[in-house]
Amino acid sequence: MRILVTGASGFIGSHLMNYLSRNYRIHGLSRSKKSQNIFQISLSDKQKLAKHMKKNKYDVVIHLEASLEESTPLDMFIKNCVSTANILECCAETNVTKVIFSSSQLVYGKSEYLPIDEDHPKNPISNYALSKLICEEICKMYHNTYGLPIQILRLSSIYGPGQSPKYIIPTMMINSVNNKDIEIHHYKNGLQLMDFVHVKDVCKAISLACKSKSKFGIYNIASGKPLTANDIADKISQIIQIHKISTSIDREANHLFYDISNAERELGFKPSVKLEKKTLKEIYKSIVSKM
Amino acid sequence: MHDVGFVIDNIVRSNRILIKTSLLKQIIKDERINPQRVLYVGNSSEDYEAATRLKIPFVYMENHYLDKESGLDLNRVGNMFDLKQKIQSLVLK
Repeated sequence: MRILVTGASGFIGSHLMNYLSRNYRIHGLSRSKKSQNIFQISLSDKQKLAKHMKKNKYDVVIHLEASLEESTPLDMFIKNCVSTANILECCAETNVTKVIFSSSQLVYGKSEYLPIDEDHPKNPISNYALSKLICEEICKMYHNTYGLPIQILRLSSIYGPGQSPKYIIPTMMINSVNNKDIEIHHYKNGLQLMDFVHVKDVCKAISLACKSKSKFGIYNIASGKPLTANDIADKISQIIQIHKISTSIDREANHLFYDISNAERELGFKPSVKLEKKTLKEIYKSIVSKM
Repeated sequence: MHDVGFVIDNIVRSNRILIKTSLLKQIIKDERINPQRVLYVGNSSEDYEAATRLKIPFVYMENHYLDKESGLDLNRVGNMFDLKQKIQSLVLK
């Protein structure tokens, strides 16, 4: 099986390239070339993209690339939605047998019930979340028009070694290393429920989706276990000394965790990495090595 | 017995609605009931919100120990006899 991964140099992409290269022939696309099997091709350059895909005849395309940056709606639309349409167009032209699209938990917006299943109302709050929902609709268009087999994975909050410092776990660790306080009040005094899935489990879910016989499916990929910011801070405190501060604020929490029974039943997905001391130590090492 | 599977405080109104909606959703899922065949009888605005979120018909049971909900367009009943009649009329629809 020949696989193409877009966003190959990103956080998930780089882990996925390692994970899949054990069993498959993998190429990656990225805005920056970082290794021999990664090609620097912009997804907005459809001609170049089509030429590359015709030449390499991929069986599976895993589309991870997306822009998270706050920009104008048009910029966000071009970077995320037009790029998705371009890659799907090329997939249809080159008879790709399976497309995996990485969507986001953010498409749901505020939780109306828990755990959130795939039928939960979609009320995206940010432009990024809205662009992901539009991309899902574009996926449906290509599936309906060309019969392109597509699996959409709505990924929860992901953690693991190599993650950008702006996310909660690296932020807490970096602040602790620098003897700074952890501001728990950002998460409703630390009581807001969240769902964290390890990047290895995300790679496993993507790999299972590649092998799925289903022609079209949408799946939540998460741990399915609620955790609070306080829980995470407590776990981090087992490996580093931390200074928590919690200030009372009058802000409504958006509690989030996900029903993963569809992914369990149809893909055979079962998260196996727990957010515990050993896992956090790995992340801590990767952070310290970059400081 | 049904369990929502999470712990949040029920002091905040939005949390109470989330708990009720989640529990109702869980029952419907576990019991494999068609939501159209469910009638939710409750006695608070949170009950009404939970039923509305899941598009389930709702009957408001007024009582003497909770504030009477006003301003909401509700199917109201005041005692068990009225409730029985209300259910019978809804079933016959």
